[in-house]
Amino acid sequence: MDFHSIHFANPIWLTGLFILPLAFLIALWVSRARHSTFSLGNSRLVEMASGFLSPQAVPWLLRLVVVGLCLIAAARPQSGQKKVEEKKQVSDLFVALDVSGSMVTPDLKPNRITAAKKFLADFLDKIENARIGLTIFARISFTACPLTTDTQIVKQILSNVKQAPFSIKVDGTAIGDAIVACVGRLERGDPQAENKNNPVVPSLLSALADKPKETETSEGKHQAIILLTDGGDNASRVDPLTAAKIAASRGIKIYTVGMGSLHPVPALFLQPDGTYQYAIDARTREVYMSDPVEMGILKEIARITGGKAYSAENNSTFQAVLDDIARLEKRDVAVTTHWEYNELAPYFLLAAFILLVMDLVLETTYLRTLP
Amino acid sequence: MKSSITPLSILSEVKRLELVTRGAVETLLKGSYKSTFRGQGLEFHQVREYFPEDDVRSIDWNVTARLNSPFVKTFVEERELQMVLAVDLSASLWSGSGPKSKRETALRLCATLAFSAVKNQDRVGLFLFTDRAEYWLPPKRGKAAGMRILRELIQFKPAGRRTNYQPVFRTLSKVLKRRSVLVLVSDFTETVPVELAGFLARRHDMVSVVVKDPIETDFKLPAWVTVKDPETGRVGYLSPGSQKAFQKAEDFRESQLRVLTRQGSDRMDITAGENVTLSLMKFFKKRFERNGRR
Repeated sequence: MDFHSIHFANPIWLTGLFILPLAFLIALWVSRARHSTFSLGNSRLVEMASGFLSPQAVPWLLRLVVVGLCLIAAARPQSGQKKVEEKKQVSDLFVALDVSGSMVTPDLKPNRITAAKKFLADFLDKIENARIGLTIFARISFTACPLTTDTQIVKQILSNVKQAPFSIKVDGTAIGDAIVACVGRLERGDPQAENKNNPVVPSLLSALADKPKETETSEGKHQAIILLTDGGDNASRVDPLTAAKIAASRGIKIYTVGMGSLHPVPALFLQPDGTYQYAIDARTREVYMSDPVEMGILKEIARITGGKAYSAENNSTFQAVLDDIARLEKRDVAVTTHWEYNELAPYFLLAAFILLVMDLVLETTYLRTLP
Repeated sequence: MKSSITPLSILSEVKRLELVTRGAVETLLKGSYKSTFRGQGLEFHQVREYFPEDDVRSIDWNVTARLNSPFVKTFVEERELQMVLAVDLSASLWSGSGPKSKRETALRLCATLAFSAVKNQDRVGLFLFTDRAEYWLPPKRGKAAGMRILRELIQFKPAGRRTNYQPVFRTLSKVLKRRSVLVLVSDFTETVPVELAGFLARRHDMVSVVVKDPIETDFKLPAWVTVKDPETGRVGYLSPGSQKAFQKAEDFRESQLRVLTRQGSDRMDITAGENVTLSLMKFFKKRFERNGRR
């Protein structure tokens, strides 16, 4: 405890202390008047008698000290000047990363997923004062990392993400489900609040039905989803636009990034030996082409939620896109300095109580007075 | 003691005191007073037959030889005695823990002594003092003098409140020319001047009468008591455990009394509320025994 800076939260009570000496004088006067003095005709003896405090005054003194302590307690003395600088969480960002099998397509160098991981890691370094969460999705979505201020752990988790069927067993692209999962996570906020296995989608949908638009998200808290995907939605149980509306109803912006070419490109397929090969259609003798990014849906999602849609056809545009999002998400750092004090009032109250008991005990034992 | 004393009540108080003391004076104290305070010198009285236990030294051999049976000479002391009662009227004597204050007891004692003196045709005077000499009534013979003394003792209003023996002893030694029985009644809580006390004690037959309050010798308080010195107005608080203070105060008083006795004064102790007659008898007996040995 640092007693150098005892400070009072309600110092007005301390003015009461000025009344105490007056009260003590009155108490002395009253007790003098109540108790008679015995005329003792022996000046030697009277000289030796203690004349400092009358035994009738001692209980009064104790009682007034009790009152004084209570007054001090009422003034809420606080000590322990603990200066805490809290960087306010100005925004919550949830990154939804598509990890479908098509992410190995090398139109971004060296391929889409590696580029995304690299640029996202750079992006995370640029983001300040935000909680970051990470959801990876293919046919189903999985929260790889709940909201956290620890960007290092997000980066570490991100570095271990692999495309389907490794990180997520079932291939496909379910944009709507991913958005809903992110919204659920953002809405809950607290990473430890819910069991990860708990399916969020049905509960969210039921919540949507009766929940009014205004929630705590609209009052200054900034939340956004950065959705990175490389293909069209083909596996959603929730329509992506419905999901976008849910997000919008929660005041969550969605930045959509379409990765890779806007035109079909040859698709790589995982071979039994673990390598990726282009596959040739046996009938048409043509290389299988992957689905291009459906920018129309992404733009619509961004429009509904008030976000922005980007297309990243190569590494440099991808980086520019993420830089732009980082710029848009850059908020003024709101630093609150608050002082943490220990409340000392209980100690004063305890002392007051002890003195009160002492008063009672003394008055009936040692300080009995005549008459 | 009533604060407003009317002349009539003084008169009745004097009368009462006289009646109360007369009985004792005429019966219990009759002989002992006389034998205690003797005048200077002896006067031949008569020759009478020897009885066993008479001092053989007092046998008159001439008469014995002439009459062929033992005869002794008897003497009577010269009773040209005067007694002066020097009474402390300071405020400390007004206090008392019991029903009777020191002053009341002192008053009773003085009345008894005064009437004893009157009875024995001795002259009796009164000297009242506080921190100064307050009043001086020269010794006179007769009942009127005794009554006067009583009246003054009861009604006199001292100007001082405190005690100071120094100026008092000085005045007393100037005023008292003849050798007297000097009865000094006080509570002796102040310092006694050694030289003046010695001067008085040598010139007079001095008796220091200590009037104490029971509480001063009891040393026991049931609880905290607020005490006030009536002389100085000083207030103090005595706890039940303040025996030490009592002891010290008592020690001081004893040391002052030792000063007086060493200078040749006799001493008599009386506690407020005690039976004055019995105390006096005890004192007379003690003194008589000692004088007899001398």
